[in-house]
This record gives sequence, structure tokens and C-alpha cells, in this order.
Amino acid sequence: MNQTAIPSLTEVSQLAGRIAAEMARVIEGKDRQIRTVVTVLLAEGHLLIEDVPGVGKTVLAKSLGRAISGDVKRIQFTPDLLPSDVTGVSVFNQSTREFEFKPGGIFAHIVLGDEINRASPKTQSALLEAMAEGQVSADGHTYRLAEPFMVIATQNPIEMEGTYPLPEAQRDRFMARITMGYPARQAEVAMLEHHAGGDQLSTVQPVTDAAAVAAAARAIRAVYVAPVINDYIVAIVEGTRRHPDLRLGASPRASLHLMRAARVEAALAGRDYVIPEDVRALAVEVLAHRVLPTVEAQVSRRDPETIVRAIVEATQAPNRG
Amino acid sequence: MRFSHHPLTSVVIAAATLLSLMPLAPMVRGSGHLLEAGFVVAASAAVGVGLPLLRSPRLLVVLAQALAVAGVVAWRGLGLAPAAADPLAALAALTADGVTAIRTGAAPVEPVPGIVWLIIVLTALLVVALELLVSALEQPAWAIAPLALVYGVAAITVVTDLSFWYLLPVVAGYVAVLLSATGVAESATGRASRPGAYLASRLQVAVAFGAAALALALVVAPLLPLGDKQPWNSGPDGPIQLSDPTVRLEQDLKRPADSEVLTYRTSDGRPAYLRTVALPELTPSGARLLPMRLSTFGLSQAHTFPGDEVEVMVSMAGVPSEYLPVPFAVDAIDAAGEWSFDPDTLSVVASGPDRLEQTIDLDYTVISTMPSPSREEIEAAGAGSGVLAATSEVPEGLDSRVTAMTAEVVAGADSAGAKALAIQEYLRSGAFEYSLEAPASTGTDAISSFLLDDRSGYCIHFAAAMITMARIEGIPARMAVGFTPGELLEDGSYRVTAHDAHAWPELFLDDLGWVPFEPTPAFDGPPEYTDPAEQPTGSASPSPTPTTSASLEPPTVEPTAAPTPTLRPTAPGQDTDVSVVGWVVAGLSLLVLLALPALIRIALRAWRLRPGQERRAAAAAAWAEVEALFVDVGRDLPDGSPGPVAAAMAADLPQRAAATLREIAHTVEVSQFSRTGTDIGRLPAQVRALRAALLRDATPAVRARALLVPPSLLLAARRVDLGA
Repeated sequence: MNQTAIPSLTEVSQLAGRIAAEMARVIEGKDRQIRTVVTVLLAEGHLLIEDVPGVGKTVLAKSLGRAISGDVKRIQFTPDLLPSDVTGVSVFNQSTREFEFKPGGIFAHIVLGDEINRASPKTQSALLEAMAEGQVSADGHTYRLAEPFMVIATQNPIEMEGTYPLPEAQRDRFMARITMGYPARQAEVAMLEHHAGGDQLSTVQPVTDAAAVAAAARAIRAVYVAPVINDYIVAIVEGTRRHPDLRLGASPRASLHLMRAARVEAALAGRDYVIPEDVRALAVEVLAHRVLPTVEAQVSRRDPETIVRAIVEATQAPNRG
Repeated sequence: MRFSHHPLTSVVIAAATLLSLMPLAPMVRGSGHLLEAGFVVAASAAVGVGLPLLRSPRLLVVLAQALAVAGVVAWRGLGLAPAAADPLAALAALTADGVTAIRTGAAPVEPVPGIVWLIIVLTALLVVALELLVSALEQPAWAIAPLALVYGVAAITVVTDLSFWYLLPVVAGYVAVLLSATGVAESATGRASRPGAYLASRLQVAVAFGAAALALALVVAPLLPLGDKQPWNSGPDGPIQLSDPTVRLEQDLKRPADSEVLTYRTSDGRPAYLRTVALPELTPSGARLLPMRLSTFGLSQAHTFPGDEVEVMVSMAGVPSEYLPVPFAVDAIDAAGEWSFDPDTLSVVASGPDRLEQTIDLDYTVISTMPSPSREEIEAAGAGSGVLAATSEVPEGLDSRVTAMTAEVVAGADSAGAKALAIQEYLRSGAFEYSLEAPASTGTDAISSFLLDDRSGYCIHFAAAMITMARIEGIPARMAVGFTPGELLEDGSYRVTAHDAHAWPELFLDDLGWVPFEPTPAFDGPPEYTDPAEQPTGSASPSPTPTTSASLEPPTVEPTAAPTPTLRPTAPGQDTDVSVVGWVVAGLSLLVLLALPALIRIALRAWRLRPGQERRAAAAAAWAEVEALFVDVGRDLPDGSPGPVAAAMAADLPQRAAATLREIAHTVEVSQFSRTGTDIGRLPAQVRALRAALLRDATPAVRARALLVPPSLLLAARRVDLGA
């Protein structure tokens, strides 16, 4: 198998299907979340998972790592975590009498940043800078990160005391945010049965490798986005800036992320062009964590997801030329 | 267009129906018929608003409305019909009356029971058809067809001068129905979040539809004979200019050398006054014409009062005249050229291209019903009413002594007829002198001085004086202008010369109609006529024809008589087919109107699938046609891009249709969104194939609706109008 050659979109679609199917073996009843994770992976973005502990955030990340047979590193964010713990540090090697770079937790294909809001802002920004640039600079040297490289960061929205919630500017760097939610009753029962057999994660088989995923991501960059679709994307994002219920709308980076997510959607459907449905598919996941509702909206329980969904529906799609 | 039924839609429909009857105004006198129509629509509206409160199904509501309307129609019909044992026979007789009145009457017709009954039935049919279209079939757009029906018929058949503005109430009613019965406004506002936008879009829709309806009207208007032009009667462009007949009269009388104007022969051999025109108005400056409402239909029923029927064959000399000399009251004309008549005065006016030369050397035949009341009948008659108001107006500035004198003259006469006879007798008495030297004016001053001081004048002064005095006494009167019977020749025909030009008054009496009088005394010298001298002491019936007929004929109603003065070389009895032509044209126009939706739909499809469009535009247009096809067959196409839509529809469609739809969707989508595009050459054929497949799959009713009243038309209109 020539893994560096650009695969066809059909192959990309099949690859994504295999990854998702493998992950679904350990995460029951969360097809949409799995699909979002795969999409973000292929769109070369990063994912933010916000939810209470114990709903499978870590399993999600680890199963993805195993399925693509990539390196998975987990960084548990604590208040005393240093930036160098994340990026790596140069230490003096006595034997060679040279400084030697010890890579931090970020040097992996899939990086699980657990409870990212517990670390100090300085450490957080070290991670986010690396996320944005795909490289780490230390002591005058630049170290490229792995490819594919995806950060899956989790936040616990409940125990907020003594934490440093991600500022808006930082949340903007994540392509999408998902919540796991509790599993459906049958899914939870099924999970108990499966886990009786021991470590479920070990049953996840690699279905591809990191190089194939990187090649797929390159293939997806070739998906064509028509000018009318770009208009549509910008119209939706602009809608968040004008909506009376939002005091902060989405950034231009959001437009970029939305376009990349739409490309993956199109590719997964086997198309080499984007249609408005592709844009709509992940619009809520891509936009909702970047906007801030007004106090009035919060009081009347209009959450960002609902507002973004309304904006998407109200924006006229370019179905007619 | 989404249908959304407003609770008050039935009220709006009722009002729209009444509005659509407005174009009847120039055809039917008075407004009583509107009240009767009001009963009908009120019943429909009451049921239409009331029953839904009981949560009845809409079709049941419409049925109940039809029943209620039928009840009102039967009730009003039996109220209008003459008492009869068999109600059905009574209604049939009423219908026959109405049809006869329409076929023979000149607009505006009197609202006789038969006419009112037909209007009631028409209203009932209209309102039920509207409810059926709007509420049951949910096709409010086609409400225009019944709503425009009355206007179309009025414009085509009866009235020659129907104003374009009569279309406005029809359009207003149509827009109201659309606004109340469609969800256009709501669906258009779905995207707006502010209440102001709601109002704005509602206005937008109203303006758009009003503009569309007006545009449609403007397109249709040239096809309809509006104004005084008719397609089968290509008259001169612009209004007909009529010259002042009194000027001509004076010239004729004072011309030194006499010349022949015409010769005529009557069926009974008796002499006849030939009248050219009547002047209804008497202003302070003299007798005047009023603007005529020229018509070509219903001549025989324009004056339905008793008289002797007489046929007159006339040979004109080389004399040009825009008025045709005919005996009053003319029923039928057989003359070459195009002729119209004024229903009020029964003046016959040339309306052809060379109208001023039409009478030169013309031979024509006229059938008239000449009034010939007996003296007793006149003495018993009261003053008539219901004619042009101008014929009752006493000219301003009249010397008060004239009024006093009139009262003196008519003292002792107890009826209008007796007063008329007294006035005629007074003017014919020796107190007045015939003289051509008098000033030509018939103005108020001239009349006053003629009556009070000079006591000398010629026919127009006697006529104007009698008209003035009659009007003072409340009798409608007007001046007739024409010729005295002329000179009897050896072969039994009569010769009329320029010196026989004459003017005489016509007075409107109850049950007798317009009766000519002769106040000008017999006189040696021009004009010579024998008639007054033959009448017993000048006080007998002054009708221009001697009252030799012993008994009065009942009004000669001839439904098959020529309803038109349009002159063709046929016998008058055969002229009926002209009105048939009118109805056929009306029917054809109605058919065209009904076929309009189908034609528009076909044209729209051809336009969307036309070759030579830019790739993206062609794909979008083809997809718009696909959406329209689905709407036409009553299927809901989900919102979205072609590909997902086709995938979603696949399960509901026959296999072939689904496959074709998928192919179309792929082509359209690729053309719109992909980098490279694709060949769109097969799109039109594919769309037509899809149409065939969808129609095959539809029930016959749905297929018929898709072909005849495609529901997608309004969708297209909304897209275009709102730029959605």
C-alpha cells in the first residue's frame, strides 16, 4: 500500500468509515460524536470536549488513537503543570556535553489534554500556541510536531472552583466543541456487559496508520468550495455577529474552520465539491463554543447551540444560482 | 405557495364577489341588484365563518355554503317571480324574462325582476365557485377567473364605453382574497425576526400581487374591446365629434334655393316625421346635445312604449349627414355602413371610417314604433320619470313672468298630459306668429322674449318654448330635430327638402314614453306641412302621425329583431347572429382566460429549459422546473440542495422517476458547486422525462389539476416577486 500517495475521495470516505466503526465498538450510542471526532481529525483541527467526568471523554480519544495506530499521549493538566512539561525541555547531557531536547507530552499524533482548565494560563497558552502552529520552538530550535496532530482537550464544566476556564480567544483555536452526554439506557447496559470482559480499549484494532490519515487530510484540501458556498459560510458567521442574543460573535477563524469541516463532510459523502448541507452539518459544533450569549439570553435559557441553529436556519442557502 | 386559511376568508370572498359586480354599474340602472347580491354573499359568509367554529371539515363548510346560497337564491327568486302554482315554472319564466331583457335591452337596462334574478344566480355561482377554488381546492390564485368574469363580459358584450377603472374593484377584491387565503405573507416573514419586517413583507406581497394583477389586466386589456371600440366594428379612433344640429337646421330653413334631401315611402302610405337627433339639454344659451353613450346592441328595446309599427324605405339624396333621419322610435335599421345609436335619445349616428359621408345616396330601411296615443290617453297620463335628469331641468335665468304665464296657461288641467295639450294649444293659438326673421337663438332670453314680447319665431322657438313650459310643470321634455313629412308625390312616396327641416318637442309621459308634440302653428310658406291643419282644431293628439289607428298596439316586443344598427345587406330578422357572435367571442375569451394558467405554465417551462443559458443559470432553472413539477403533482419536495433532496425523495417515487431525479440532481449540483462543472445538454430532456414519469404516477384528478391549474405558478410568482 502506497501510503504517501493522495487517496481518492472514495478511499477517504471508506477510511473514515472504518475509523468510526472501530471506535463505535467501545463507545456505544455516540455516532454523532464519533463522526465529529473523525471529521475534525481529517480537517486537521482540534477538538474540545466539555462534559462531566466519566462519560467517556478519555475513551473517545484513546480509541481514536488506537484505531489510527498513532501515538497517543495524555497530559493531565494540573495547576502546577509547567509549559515545558507540555512542549518539552532542553537538558544538558553530561556525556555528550550538549543540550538535548526532551520532547514534552505534545509530541504525539493524538494529544489528550485532560481538564485543561486546571492548568495555569501560561501552560494553557503554551499548548494552544503549539496547536496553532504545528511546531514547538525551544532554545533556538524548531521542532515539528507529528502529522496528523490533533489535540483533544477536555473541560469539566461543573467543578469550576480554582480553575482557569479557557478564555474566548483560546477556545477559538478549537475547531469544534462537543459534549458527550450520558449514554442512552440500552447503550449503558451494553457497555456494562462489554466491560465485564476486561479492558475494552485493547480490543480496538488499528484500521489504518498515521501516514494514511495525513494523506487523507491532504486529499481533502483539494475539495472545491464554490464562491457561493464561501458566501454562505460568511453569511452564517456574520449572522452570529449581528444576532441580538449574542454579545460576542464568531471570528474569521471560525469561517475558516467551518469551511474545512464542510470540506471533510463533502469528502465523506464522496463529493469533490461542497454543498450547503455540508456547511450546515457541523455548523453548531464549529460555532457554538465561540459565541457568548447576552445576559438576557442566559437568563431565559437560550443556549448558544439553539441560537446558532436558528441563525443557520435563517440564513438563505445558495441552492439557486 | 403555502395555503393558510384565515378564519375571515369567507367574508373577504363575499366582499370580493360584490366588488367584482361593480362593472355591472353601467349595464344595470340603480343599485338594487347589489342589495340582492348582498343577500347571497351574506349567506355564504355567515356559513363560512360560523361553521368552522363547530370544527367542520372545510369541504363540508363549502357544501353548506352552497346549500345556504341556493336557499337564498330560491327565496329571492320566488319573491321576484309572478305568483304561480309551480315554483319551478315561475323561476323558469323569470329566467326567460331575464334572458329576453338582456338580449333585447340596451344598456343600461332597467332592473326588472328577470334581470335581478339573473344577477342573483350569477352572484351565487361566483361566490360558490370562489369558495370552491379558495377553500376547498386551496387554489386562491385562480380566484381571478370568477372575479374577472363580470368585467370581461361587460367589456366584451354589452357596453361600449366601459371604463378601465371598473377593473380596480376587481383587482382589489382579488388581492384581498389572496392576502387572506394564502400563507405568502407569513412564509415570507419566516426569515425575519422583527414584527416590523412582518408588516413590511405583507405590504410587499400586496404590492407585488397588485402589480401582477394590473400587469395582467394591461396585457388582457388590448385583447378586450374597451372603450367605444369593438373588434367587429372598427370605428374611427378617438371619440366621435358631433356637430350642432340646430345650426344645420337654421341653414336649411333659410337657404334661398330649396333642394331635395330625401324621398321615402312608408309601409302604410302615411306620412312620417323623420328625426335626425334629439337635444336633451336646454341651457341658458340654447338647446344642446349631451355626450352620447353610443351602443350597437339592444336598439329594439331602447324605447318600449306603445305605438304603431311602420316600415319606412328612405332614399337619401347626395346630402352628407352624420345623423340618420329615422322615424321615432326606431327599432331596426338596415343601412350600409356602420351605425351606432344613443340609447337615451335613439339618435342614430354614423360610426364608420367615413362617417360624415355615410348618408350620401344611401338607401335604407327602418322599422319604427311611432307613438300614436289618443287624446284621452294623453289627458290621463302623468309626467314620466326615470329619464335623463337634464330633460327635467328648467334653464336658469328664466323670466319669472314665464312661470306665471305657464301657470295661467295650464290652469284647469289636472294631469301632465292635459297640461301638455294646453301648452300646445296655447302656442298654436293665434297669439303667436311664424317668422324666420326671429333670432336663431333658443337661449333663455330668446325664449322669454318670444313668449312675452315678440310672440314671433319659427319651429325652434315654438319647440323650445313648449319644452321650457313643460319642464316648469315638471314634465321631462327634449327637442327633436329632423324633417316634417314633406310633400306627397304621385307615386305615393314623399319628398323631403331642406326647407322641411324642423324642430319639435318630445315630452315624456307615464306609460306613453316620449311623445312628440307640434306647437308650431300651421302657416303659409316654408316649412310646408299639412299635419297640424288636419288635426281637429289643433288640439288633437299632436303626434306627427295622424291618429287614425283605432286601437293601440301593445308594445311590439321582438326579441329576434335587429339588436344592432350595424348595417349589413340582410333582413333585420337575421341580425340576431351578431349578438350570437358577441356571446361566442365572450365564450372564447372566457376559454382563453381559463386556459391561461396552462399556457403560462407551458411557456414558463419552455423558458426555463431554453437552450443557450449560462451553465449555472441553466442548472438552477432546470432545478426550479423540477421543484415546480413536484408542486404541480402535489408532492412536497423538501428544502435543500438537489443531491440530498433527490436521495430523500427516492423512496417515494417510482423507480424510473427516482433514477431520473438523481441524475438531474447530480448534474444540477455539480453545475452549481463544483470546480469543473458538467455537461448540461441532457438536462431539458431529463426534466421532461421526469415530468412524464410524475404525471403517469399521479391520479387523474391531480394530473388534470397539474395540467389546467398548475399550483406551481404562484410559487414561481412568489419567487420572482419577492426575489426569494
